[in-house]
Amino acid sequence: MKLPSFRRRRERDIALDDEIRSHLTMAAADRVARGESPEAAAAAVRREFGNVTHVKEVTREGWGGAWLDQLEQDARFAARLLRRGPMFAATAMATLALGIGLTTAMFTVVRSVLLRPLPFAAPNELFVISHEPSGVRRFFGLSMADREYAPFSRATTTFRSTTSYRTYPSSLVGGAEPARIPVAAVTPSFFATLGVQPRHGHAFAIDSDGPGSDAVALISATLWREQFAGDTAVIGRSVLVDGYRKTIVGVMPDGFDFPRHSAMWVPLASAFDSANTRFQVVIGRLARGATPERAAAELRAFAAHDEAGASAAEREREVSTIVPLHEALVGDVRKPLVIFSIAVGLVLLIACANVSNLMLLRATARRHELGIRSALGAERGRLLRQLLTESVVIAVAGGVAGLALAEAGVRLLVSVLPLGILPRASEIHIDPVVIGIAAVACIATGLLSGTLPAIGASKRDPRDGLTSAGRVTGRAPLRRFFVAIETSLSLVLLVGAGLMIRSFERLQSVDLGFVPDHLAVATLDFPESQYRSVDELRGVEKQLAGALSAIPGSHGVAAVNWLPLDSTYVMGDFTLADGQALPRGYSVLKPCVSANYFSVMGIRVRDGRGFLDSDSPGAEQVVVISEAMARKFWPKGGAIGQRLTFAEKPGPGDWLRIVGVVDDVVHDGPASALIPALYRPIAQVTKPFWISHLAFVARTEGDPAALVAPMRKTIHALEPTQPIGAITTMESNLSAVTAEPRFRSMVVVLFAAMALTMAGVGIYGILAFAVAEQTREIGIRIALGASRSSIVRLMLAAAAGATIPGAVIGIVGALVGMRALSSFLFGVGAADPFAYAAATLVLLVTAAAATIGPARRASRVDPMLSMRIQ
Amino acid sequence: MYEAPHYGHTSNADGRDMPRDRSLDLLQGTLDLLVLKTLSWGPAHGYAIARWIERLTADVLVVGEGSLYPALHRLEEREWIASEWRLSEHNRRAKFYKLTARGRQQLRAETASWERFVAAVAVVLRTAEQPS
Repeated sequence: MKLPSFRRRRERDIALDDEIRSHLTMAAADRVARGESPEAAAAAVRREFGNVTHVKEVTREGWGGAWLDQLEQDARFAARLLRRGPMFAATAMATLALGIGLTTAMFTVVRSVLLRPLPFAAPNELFVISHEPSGVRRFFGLSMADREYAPFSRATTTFRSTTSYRTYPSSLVGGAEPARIPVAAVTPSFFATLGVQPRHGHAFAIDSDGPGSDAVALISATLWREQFAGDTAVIGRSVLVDGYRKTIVGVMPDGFDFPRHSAMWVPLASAFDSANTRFQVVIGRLARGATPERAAAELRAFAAHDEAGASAAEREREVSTIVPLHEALVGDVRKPLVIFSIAVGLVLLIACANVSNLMLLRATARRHELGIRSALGAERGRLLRQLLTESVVIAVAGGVAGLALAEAGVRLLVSVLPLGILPRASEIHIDPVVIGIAAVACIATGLLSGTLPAIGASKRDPRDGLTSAGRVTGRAPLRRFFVAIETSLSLVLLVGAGLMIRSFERLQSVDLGFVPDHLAVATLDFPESQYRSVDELRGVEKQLAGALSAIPGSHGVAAVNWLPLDSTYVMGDFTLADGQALPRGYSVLKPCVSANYFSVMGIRVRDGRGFLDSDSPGAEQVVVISEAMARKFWPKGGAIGQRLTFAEKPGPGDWLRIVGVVDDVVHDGPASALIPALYRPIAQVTKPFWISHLAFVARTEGDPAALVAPMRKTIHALEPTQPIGAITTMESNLSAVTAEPRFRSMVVVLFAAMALTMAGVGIYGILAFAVAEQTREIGIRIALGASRSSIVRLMLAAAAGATIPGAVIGIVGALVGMRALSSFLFGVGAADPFAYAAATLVLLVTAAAATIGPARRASRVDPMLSMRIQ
Repeated sequence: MYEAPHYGHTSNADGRDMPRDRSLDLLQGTLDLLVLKTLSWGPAHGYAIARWIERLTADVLVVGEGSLYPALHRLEEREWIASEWRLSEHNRRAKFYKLTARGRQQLRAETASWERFVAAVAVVLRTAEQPS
């Protein structure tokens, strides 16, 4: 059928009015002609004609698209009603806006991160290839050693193309200002494997393996805009990366920042020989016709060959597997996102229950009106439709507000997300599909929240509304049902929030092994290109440490190559002089520190001594080991005096003596596994590599942030090409490391707070309404001698009747549901009684608070007044 | 066998059949027939149609405006009649309806089935004995 436009209908409406008016005029004229007075004639004609509105309505129904007409009418009526009850409308809309906004924002994130395919050509063909000892995997994720990557990439037939890369922070000089940027060193086949082309310039030539060919770089579109003003003349420009001159040959397309938010890509110049045991990520693109199964089988065959000499136990610890790239990227966040989505779903359900409840209250309040309308012949279906239209109007209005909220929510979410938690964060945006789904969710929400109340209200016997002005009628069970739903869902979220807060607290109270407060930190790179010898580096270190400790307020400055909580570290193995073999895959951190490092950081020396100024280049080579390493090899003590070496074929001068044992330091953040460490004094290192990256730690008694500016000034005076921004406080480093769990707790607490608020509004709603509805009954009770406190008790009992069953269901639901949360928890069990008790308490207090107002109003009912009201 | 005219159902514009109350439908169908017949003499406005029917049936059939206008609009929707605004005999603007070709056809069909209906009912009513 064709849809008659509203305009055409309006014209027809006006014509119908005219037609009827002309009819009435003619009829009246006839009567006047017969001798009646004009007034009497007009009245008689009207009487004869009947109900003009009714005639019009019936006539209109004969027109095409009557349903549209009624829809418009219903919507207008709904809008009018909502304008008349702005509090109701505002509450319902705000609730739904929150629910829909949150759902849309969450869905946007889930869709962008989990559902949308990676922005690479044929992303399903891309796999991460890993072949590594399981111990390594813990620290590097899926990876493969360079020495194995080279033969595998040559031998493979199931992968058309493979690439290997690693990422690290570098200093960039030559743009708008010096900066520290994330850089990816990639094999030349990187871009061809992913199927991504630069927007300007060209990618690395595949055969550019020769010497000097690594003096080129590609930059991200973001860096291009920030540092080079988006000028295409950037191609061919030369910059310094870690002091090495590189020519920019291309700019990548917008949004491309793989891997790990990289801003620059440089050719990976790896020596793929048998001595290179560095583990790097390897990505392969399946050959045409190859299946993942065949590729995995090929990798296992390769691994078996590679490990021919290894013992069975050792082989067992090797992990050889291929994982879809998408899975490898988002695998870690899938679970949190799914859990957040469930939480958001709960909030939306609560919002629906809340709006249902409000609609129900309103329908009850309007039962007089509905009664009259059905007595006047309104069909039940028509009333039902009217009520549903009303809830859909609310939902649509709420949805529009919700969409605006979602837009802001997504932006907020992306901005507060600590970089690195969400892979693909740059791809997150609201798209038409999201809007479409939000619209569907919106209508569904309207229908969902409107159906039960509408059915209940339209079922009413017309006599009800007319005879019993204000008599209490029994819609209470349904109302209580909605409140119970809200209560139980809120409690689930509250328990979740409680557990997250508890585990975050535990996380905060973890003993880091050092004292993080009152420390300012400056991280500097000394590129090999500028500082070629160890002595030169040591000279700079001494000079900087001296200048920094001269800053007023600084109580000691120490240096370390890889600072705890800085997410970069060097790990490796060693050989013990007493003949003990290292477990396969066992590696330790190898920090090189200044002599005063332990005292400045507050790391306790448990046994032996720390480093001394006398541990000079010429003196005996010494090391200090961490408690975990000492316990591992000398569980009964006796670590002091033992000797070890880093050299594969140690000469007499390569042995280092253990002189002390210190507390373990949490290197990666409080929640991560403890890594044993083996410290060496900066004074005794022999290769520039060990100290070409140094962090200076300054202890102060005041606010460490106050040291940041003078430190920057001092460093700038001595090392003008150092990128600014790498100076911060240890506490902010710590909070960056705990950002992810904090973010998770924050989100869950936020959801729980919203849920709680809605539940509170729901409870308040039924009680306030019950009081209004039962004013007369309460008045009679008081008149008959009921005490005020017994009235309050009555109200409390009503609240408890809805809240307590909900709470019980909620606790059971939480016990079942929280098991899914257990991998997020740190130091608390999923059934932690304290969290459950606290959550229940918070809920009950909220319920009680929501009860106070209505209960007091009830107890103040004036019996005389209440009976006169109706 | 008697073939029912379309009285049992009315079809609305989008072609859905809407079952109606029988007594009302008969009335409605009858009114449709009367309106079509009235218009076969020439164009007329709603008030005139009502007057004519009342006068012709000696006020036996009083056409309630409550059903006349819905009927007129329904017939127009089905394109059995068409309308235009003109000046009435007393120089008043009024909406005049006239029969369309399809309406004339419909009138013939409905008149025929009405006559058969009346005849059939009459036969039943005049029969004194129960048929064996």
